[in-house]
Amino acid sequence: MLSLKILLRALRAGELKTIFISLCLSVAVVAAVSIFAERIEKAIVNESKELLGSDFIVKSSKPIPQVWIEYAVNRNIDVSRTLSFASVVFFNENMHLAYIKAVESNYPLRGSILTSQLPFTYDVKQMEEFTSGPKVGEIWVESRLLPILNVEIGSQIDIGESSLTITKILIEEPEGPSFSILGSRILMNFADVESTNVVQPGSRVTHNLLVASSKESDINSYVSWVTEKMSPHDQLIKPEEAQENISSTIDRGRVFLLLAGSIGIVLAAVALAMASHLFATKQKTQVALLKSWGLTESRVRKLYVNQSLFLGFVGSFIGLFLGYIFHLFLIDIAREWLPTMLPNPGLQSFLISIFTGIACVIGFILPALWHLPKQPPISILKDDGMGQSTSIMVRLIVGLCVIMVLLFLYSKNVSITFAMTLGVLSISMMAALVGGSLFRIALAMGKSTGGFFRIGLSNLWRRKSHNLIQLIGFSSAIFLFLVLAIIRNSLLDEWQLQIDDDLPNHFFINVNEDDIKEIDDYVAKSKVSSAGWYSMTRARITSINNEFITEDQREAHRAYDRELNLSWSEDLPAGNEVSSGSWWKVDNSESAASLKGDIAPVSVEHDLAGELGLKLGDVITFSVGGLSFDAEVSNTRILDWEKMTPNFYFLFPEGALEGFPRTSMTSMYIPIENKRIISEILREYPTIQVIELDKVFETIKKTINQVTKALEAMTVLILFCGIMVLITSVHLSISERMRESAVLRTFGCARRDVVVVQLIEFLALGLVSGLLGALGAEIAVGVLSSTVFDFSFKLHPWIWGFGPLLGMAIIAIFGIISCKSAISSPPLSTLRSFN
Amino acid sequence: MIIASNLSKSVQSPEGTLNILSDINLSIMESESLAIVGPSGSGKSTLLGILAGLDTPTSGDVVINNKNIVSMSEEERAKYRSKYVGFVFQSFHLLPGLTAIENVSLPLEIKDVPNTASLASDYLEMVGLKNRARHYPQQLSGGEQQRVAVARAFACQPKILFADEPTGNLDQKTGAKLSNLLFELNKSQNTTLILVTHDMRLASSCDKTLNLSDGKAVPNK
Repeated sequence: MLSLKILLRALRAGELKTIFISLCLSVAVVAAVSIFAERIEKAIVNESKELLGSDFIVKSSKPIPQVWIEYAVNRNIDVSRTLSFASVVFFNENMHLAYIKAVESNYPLRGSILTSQLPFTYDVKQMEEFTSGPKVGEIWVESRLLPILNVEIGSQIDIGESSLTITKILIEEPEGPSFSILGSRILMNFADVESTNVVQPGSRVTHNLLVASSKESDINSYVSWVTEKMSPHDQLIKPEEAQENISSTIDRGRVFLLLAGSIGIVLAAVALAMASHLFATKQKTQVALLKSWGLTESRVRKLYVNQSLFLGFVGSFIGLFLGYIFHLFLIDIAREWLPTMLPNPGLQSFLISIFTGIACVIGFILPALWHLPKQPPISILKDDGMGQSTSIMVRLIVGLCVIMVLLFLYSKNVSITFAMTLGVLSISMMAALVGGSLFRIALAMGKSTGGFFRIGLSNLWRRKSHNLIQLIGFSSAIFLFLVLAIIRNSLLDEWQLQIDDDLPNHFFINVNEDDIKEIDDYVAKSKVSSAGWYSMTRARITSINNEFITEDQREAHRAYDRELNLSWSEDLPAGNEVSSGSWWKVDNSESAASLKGDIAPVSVEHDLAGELGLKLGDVITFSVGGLSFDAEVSNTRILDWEKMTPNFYFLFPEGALEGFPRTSMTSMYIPIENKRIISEILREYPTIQVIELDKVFETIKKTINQVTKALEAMTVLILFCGIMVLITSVHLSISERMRESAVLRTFGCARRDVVVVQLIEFLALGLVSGLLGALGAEIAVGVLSSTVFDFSFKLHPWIWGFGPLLGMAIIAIFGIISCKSAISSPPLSTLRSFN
Repeated sequence: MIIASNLSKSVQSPEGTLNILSDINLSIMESESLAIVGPSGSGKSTLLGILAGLDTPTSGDVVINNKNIVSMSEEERAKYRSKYVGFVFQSFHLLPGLTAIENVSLPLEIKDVPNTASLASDYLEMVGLKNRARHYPQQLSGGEQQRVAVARAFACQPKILFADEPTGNLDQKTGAKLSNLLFELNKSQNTTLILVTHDMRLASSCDKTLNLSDGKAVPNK
């Protein structure tokens, strides 16, 4: 096969080196990130399923219909029921309101239950894993219950009318509530529920049906079926919701990985386009020669199309292989924070990678070579610039379209696709519009300066066609680097707040105001301190706009069904943002509105207001221990939940709830070695409730670390792509530079002077490229910030200095290195090589 | 037999119409050799290109063995070149990524000639470069590169060989050697030879000479 023969010879000769490397690189980037992201996502989903104890849960305030269970069983789908309810448990004269979960023998369907024989232990060697719950007659309890009831393992405690034996300490179970404030957790056998007589018609019980199957298609069809049967009392809990705390982090990390990969694709595509252009310019003589020997236009076209497609397939498979290897490298870097078993990737990642290679051939290589068959054979005798070239505009449009398709296929994110395309388009248009003018200005500047500056700056104008293409290439590379840097820094800055080692990781609530000082003194002995005390009053909503809350409303939303924590503040708390209405200003000369007949203003959390249908001016009636008062919605607030500081759904002006019973809450950072103080506090103050968030933070930290490491590894890969672009760009004009340097040296210029001339040209190109890159980056980051990453829009002044400096430094260094051999070679041999 | 009648070629330039060739007439018999001579810019390479079917005249005809190549389509001219024509160029035009033997083989591979390697090797031997078969052009001297180009041209056993300043980039001694080689192979294969040259010694070795000046044929002195 002639095409293959010629291709292999060209590869051997290194003529296709840059094209081939760029092609492999673009496929490798796609493959590495796709496979890596897919395996991580699958692992996170699997982890989430383990946290959920199943593939999904049907949650209901009513008993699960038997037909739903039978439907699943008939299709070989595993099901398991659980019941969750609050109940007072007793031991002798001690009692405690506990959160009880009754589970069937096959619970959990995924994951395991962590227990111990030692209360308050954090030593993993003391822990055991079980894949089924307590036997009939047994219960597993949370450590803190022991000091509260003054019991130990082996003790029998009363739940309703039954006495059940504590056999293990419950440390962690799937679907364990992270934020339970309803007391200690107890796990019991489903079969024991009836004998307790606690669950009666009308009892507030949550019924759960856990569902799992090894076949995803079976699960998906069951979800579709059961969703149609569900009523407002029912809710579907999916694995993503099991990790709500870190879902935003995971999502951002995933999107950033995709963004980094997208940047890599665009960089590799730009390098490929430029390498193809360079290759095409060198092929004109060969085509004229082939045609002089009798090859027709159609045969020439067939030759190059076959070569390009063959190159595409081979490059794709090699790129896929390299990408697979690189993804293993990514996994190795993040190994410490990844699940032990990573699921295998699916076929999709591989197919997308192969498609990328072929798309690159169609989008970048073929357009550059398309005009070659039209090269007139007479040009072999007279090379006076004959021959057409596919219009740069056409190549740009085709290239952009292919980039858009690849970006969307890869990221499945319209915003990333749009932002990247807009950035590249802006740069190309600015380069086209502004580049020529800038080169003309440089020419004028050179004339006024004289000497080497004159030659260097004049070269910008003399080689304007090449320089324009180089400008687009350099600017694209700098633009993409800057986007990556800005987004990465913003993400890491935000995450840093979440993984601060000293972030409070325990909340103490329901603390009597009289006990605050003693608790502060007590924890100070263990070198722990509270992050500040917040007072609150617990109340229920009884009516909205004088309409009583109905049973259905209570069942539809928890806010109507339980006591809420109301607090007060003179100023808008840090991290809160008013979304409608306005914050009150408390005039110190007046006391806050008395609540005997007056209406106090209240601020409601934005999302909750939406869920409850509350608008500005609505009047909410609260009941505090039987005493009612009205409050008018005066504003809504958006809260920042990720900072892990106390947030309140309802806030009043300072003094508005004077006279009502109040308790306090605080948050503290308690390191693992000091966790014993929790049980000591609980023993001393049994009404206090503790929310332990250290495990949640651990998960967040782990996720952030894993994503950060992966991002850093990706940056290395992106760097390679960027370097390819720069090297290819410089090589566009290398022949001319070599010839020029030989001529200058023939006329007596020293090597150093020739270097200076090249340096001036490269520095000028670098400066302009850096400025254009900064412009493109501001535009793209502006779009990405608001549509993808949810950052507030801002400009980045530093890139306007850093971009040009980076451009000048890198382009000058690579440029001079690339020209080094030309400058060092004897002028005669260089000039002869051009004959 | 090649008959060119009333050949003219003009092109448009920023300064207006440029007449490169005006009313050229010539005839060449089979196996004859013709040297086209003249100062730079006299239209020699243009005439060569038209006679070789690489270009078309603005007016006039070129009839080769009773077929007018001017009226052919580009595809038909390509076919004509494939069957009958060989080239030797001033700049050699060896492909730098191919070895000597691969350069000689390439036109044979394009024409689907069997046993290309063996044929190429034979022609390299004829030009005295069999032991340099695996060398790349940049490893050969100018004279050696041109000899490889000559081998490449003759390996296709063309009926007509067109040579554009074949000794233009060579020193006198090497040029003389190459000229001898060219005429030896020409004689042994009975090829019609048409060459453009500044080398009067080379021109005098040809059967005929056509003098061009400003695109017009001038009588020989």
